Amino acid sequence: MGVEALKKIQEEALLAGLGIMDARAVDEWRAEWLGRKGKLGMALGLISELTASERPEFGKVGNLVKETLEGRLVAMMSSVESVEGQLDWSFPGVEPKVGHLHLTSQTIREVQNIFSELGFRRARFPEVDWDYYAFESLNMPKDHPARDDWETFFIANDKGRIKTGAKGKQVLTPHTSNAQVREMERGELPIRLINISKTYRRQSGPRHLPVFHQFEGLLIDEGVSIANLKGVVDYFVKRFFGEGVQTRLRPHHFKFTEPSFELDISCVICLGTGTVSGGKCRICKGGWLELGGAGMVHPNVLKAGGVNPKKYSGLAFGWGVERTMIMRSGVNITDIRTLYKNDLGFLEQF
Amino acid sequence: MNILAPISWLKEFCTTDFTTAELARELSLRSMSVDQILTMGDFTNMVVGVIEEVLAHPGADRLRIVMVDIGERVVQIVCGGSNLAVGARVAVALPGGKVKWHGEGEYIALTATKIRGEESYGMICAPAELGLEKLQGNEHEIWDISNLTSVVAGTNLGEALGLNEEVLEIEVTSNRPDAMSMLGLARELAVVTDGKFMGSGLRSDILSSGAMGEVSVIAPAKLCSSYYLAKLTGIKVQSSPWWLQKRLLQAGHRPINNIVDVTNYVLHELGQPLHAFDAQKINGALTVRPAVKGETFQALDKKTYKLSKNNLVIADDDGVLALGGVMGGLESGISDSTTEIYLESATFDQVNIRKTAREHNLFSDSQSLFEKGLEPEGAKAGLNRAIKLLQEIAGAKLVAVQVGVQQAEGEKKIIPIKYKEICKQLGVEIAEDQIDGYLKSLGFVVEKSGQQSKAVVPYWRRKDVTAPVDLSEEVARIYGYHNLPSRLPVGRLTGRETNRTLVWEQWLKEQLAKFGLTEFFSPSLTDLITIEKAGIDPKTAVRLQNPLNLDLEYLRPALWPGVLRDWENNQNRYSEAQVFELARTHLDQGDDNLPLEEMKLCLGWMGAGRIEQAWREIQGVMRAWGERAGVEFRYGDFVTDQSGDHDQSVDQTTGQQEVWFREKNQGEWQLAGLVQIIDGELKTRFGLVKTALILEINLESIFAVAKQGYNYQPLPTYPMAVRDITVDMGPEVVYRQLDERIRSIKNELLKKSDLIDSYRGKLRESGLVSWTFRLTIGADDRTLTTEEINDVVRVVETGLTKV
Ligand SMILES: [Zn+2]
Repeated sequence: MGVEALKKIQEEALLAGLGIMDARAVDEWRAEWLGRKGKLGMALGLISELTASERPEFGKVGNLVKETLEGRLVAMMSSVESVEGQLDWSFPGVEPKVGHLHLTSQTIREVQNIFSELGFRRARFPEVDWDYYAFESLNMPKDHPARDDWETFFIANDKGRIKTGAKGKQVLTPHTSNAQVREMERGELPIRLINISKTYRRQSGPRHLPVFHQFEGLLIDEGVSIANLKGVVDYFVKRFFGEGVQTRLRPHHFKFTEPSFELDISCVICLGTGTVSGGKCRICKGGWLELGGAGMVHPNVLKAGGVNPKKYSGLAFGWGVERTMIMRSGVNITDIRTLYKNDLGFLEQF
Repeated sequence: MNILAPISWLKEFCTTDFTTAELARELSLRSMSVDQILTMGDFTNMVVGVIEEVLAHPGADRLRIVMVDIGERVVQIVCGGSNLAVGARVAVALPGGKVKWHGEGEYIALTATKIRGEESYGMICAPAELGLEKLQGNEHEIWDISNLTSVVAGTNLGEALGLNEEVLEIEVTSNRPDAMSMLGLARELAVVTDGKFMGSGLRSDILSSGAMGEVSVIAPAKLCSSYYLAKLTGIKVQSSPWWLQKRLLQAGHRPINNIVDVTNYVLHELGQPLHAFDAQKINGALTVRPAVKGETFQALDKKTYKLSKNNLVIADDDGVLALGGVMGGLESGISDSTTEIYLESATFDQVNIRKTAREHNLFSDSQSLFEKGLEPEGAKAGLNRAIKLLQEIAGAKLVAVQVGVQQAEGEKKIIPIKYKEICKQLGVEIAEDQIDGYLKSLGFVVEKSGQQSKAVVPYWRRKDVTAPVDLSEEVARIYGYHNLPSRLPVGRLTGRETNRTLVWEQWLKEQLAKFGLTEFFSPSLTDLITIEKAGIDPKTAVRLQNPLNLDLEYLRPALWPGVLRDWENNQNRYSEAQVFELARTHLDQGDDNLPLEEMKLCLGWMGAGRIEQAWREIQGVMRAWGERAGVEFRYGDFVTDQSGDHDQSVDQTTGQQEVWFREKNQGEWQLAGLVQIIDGELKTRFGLVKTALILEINLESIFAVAKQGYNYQPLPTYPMAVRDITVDMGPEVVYRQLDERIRSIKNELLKKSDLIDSYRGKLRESGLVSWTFRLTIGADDRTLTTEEINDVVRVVETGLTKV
């Protein structure tokens, strides 16, 4: 009998204690190893049979083993302490305190990420800009109706007149396309740009906001074709709206692109059939929803940005963030103004 | 602009084998979008009836009992019409048919019923009750269709009147006024459905140039590029024949009388506006001239307009007869007694027309077409078509056509056809003769000489097709965008990085939401009142020159006033909230510069019950994101001493503190913004019930130094002890003093001390406040003994309590 025997007892006791799950087993374990007639006690009682030189070492190890097993016992007791019968399983959950990103912020983030996958980088442009960047350089002749004051906001000077500088009047950007020539003027080609910004129009109503958001894509490189435009918009639509959603380009007219298109996606409500349970789908026109405008950058716009249209061509598109967002979410926001009233009841739903 | 196009009208100018649904699809994909396919109403359970008997109603003076033959039998209908006549053909809505009561509201299905005790099997209808509001009818009269159709009783009404026909509603883009007519749409339709266009044979010669009154055009040629006037006599003004009225109804026009109807018909059919003057109301020669400033004119809408010299008018010796291309005058308009007319077909300048219309807020179908830009070549064909129709339906005799301005042979617009570039732009190979074929079908003339090919642009596309790229568009759309492949672009990526501020903006919004804050998101336009309430000088703000309304007159110079304004609407339902807004604000920078546009952050602890708690939470949020962005914040006023250290003084008496930042552990402290208690005066101004705490900082320079990354600290090798201590202090003591005392202890075993509570409640009588700190105590090279730990606690206690 010696120190080795004590160490063996510790080893065996700890092994036996593994996996003990209930209070009765803990009691049995304690009786077997730590009880008055337990294995450790019996072993320690044999100290009298040792020589005087062996005793101190035996005593010291014996104490350590005892401490270890007692520590183990405490741990076992606390782990099997039963709460059975004390828990009302029907209690309701308590929600963690969560913050809320606005629906528009979430959409902007997602749009930015999707185009980032195609190598489009987001840049920042002024919300108040010169007429030159908002209109003139975009192939809009001086008498184009969009430039008249019933659609565009202008900035006042202290005499109440429109602030005007070398690059024309100061306007609140009615679209994100002021990015186009500004970006070209940086003189770096190719361009893969996304601009997401507030835009402003003199309009108001349940479907039209005077302040809304657009995202504008611009790709300028050698040999960019309509097929590439289709590739880019298809990519976005499938990533944003889902694989099953179809696209189509319809002829349209914008001054700064030629050709110009309107992009439709198949209706997410009636799945492109145009009918819902026998009746006409109220969301779409014959199975198609209008997403927004797109086109090939007009040579005059390239020229205005100092890009040689003989060598380079480009594609561009500009769509409404709110419109795109509402089209997907199926969120039944009948009055778009609800988005920006900052009612907590609304904000906390997203 | 949306154009309504009855299929049969389109087919007068083209052939097509396609069904309506098919041709609508082809038009949408390759030409003009078809918004919807309509009919003029639902004529289910609507039949032609013939009145057999009209009897008095025993229970009502105004009502009659009418026996009506509806084909298979005769039914009894109670009706209040004042023009019920035996033998008349009438429009009968049977039970199940849908009508609009009194011509208003939604359609309602009829049932067989009793009216004042008498059976009534349906209803004898007036036009408005059938949804034909544009059809003139006299009050209390039913619609007598005896002259419109001769079908037998019981025939379906829609069939009898030709109103079952499908009508396309087509959105025509503003660059295509040539397609805002049946003729132009038929040309497109023929191309996209492989049909045959039959509209090229319109007469465009001068029919007669006999003598008549004088016409002189003294306006600049730019403003009036063609002017023809026909004199017609022997006119009998009456209702137009039904086929013409029906077409106008389908096209969205209101039938008025045969003369006016013909001008509208030709406008819709050929896209050429016309105007008819009553010749007998004209005194002297007609002149087309700029208006004299101040001259007045009473238009057909019965309003009087004061003209400016930019307006173009048609006048006689007595004054203005018409605002050219916009609207005719009341005085010289067609009346029932008109027998002679001057019929005008002209071309007015698009810009001038648009400006004139906006100047007087006066709009019409003619003006709407002119402002899109019409070509002078169209004027003669339009005039000839109208003369022919007036001869047919109004007994008109042509006296003469006088030419005011004859457009000189229009300059030919010729564009080289660059086949290779077209294919390159489309991303697909198309044969040259196929491209030529597309262009020819659209009216272009393709001229070949050697290797060179050129397209002569048809006059009606002169403003729209001006460069080779425009030819690409024509080829692409007729080829069909849906037939082009979809290919992701290849080629080099740009070396450009996403804008730094925008990356951080996104990141910070996400952090704040993670910390449990709710994002406010507001329009950037605000009003003067909100700016003034916030105590901001409106002169620093950017003002709109033409605001939509005064609620949206300024670009916001700061975010927090809007946050308070919007919170006000929430406070009745929510006792508190922690919100943020992150957006750009604008400040005026003088006339020569664009406004200063800066990214700002506003944190708002709204309904902050315990203001200390709110302030601690705001600081906590600022520190949490600051640490992750490599910046640190301090609050209060700074005085920098010579060693570069900062002495911070906090003025307890004000309701606001400055917010300073610097790159973590280095760099100069810079002012970032302000944190303020919204209480007292401000609280009242914004109508808040509870106190709020608002922090607003400028993010531009913070983001400029922000860095993402982690500052890894090795974990302690030896255990740390945690001890809480509580000390009582007089009410004048602020946390910063205690913090400074602890800092000054400089005991290397004291690793950290955090304030976990400050309690004023129970000890109020003594005035004392109890402060509880949690100390973290340990050493890097050993486990401390209990004595060592207790020594540190004692040192801190002593340090805190000594004054
Ligand atoms: Zn649908």
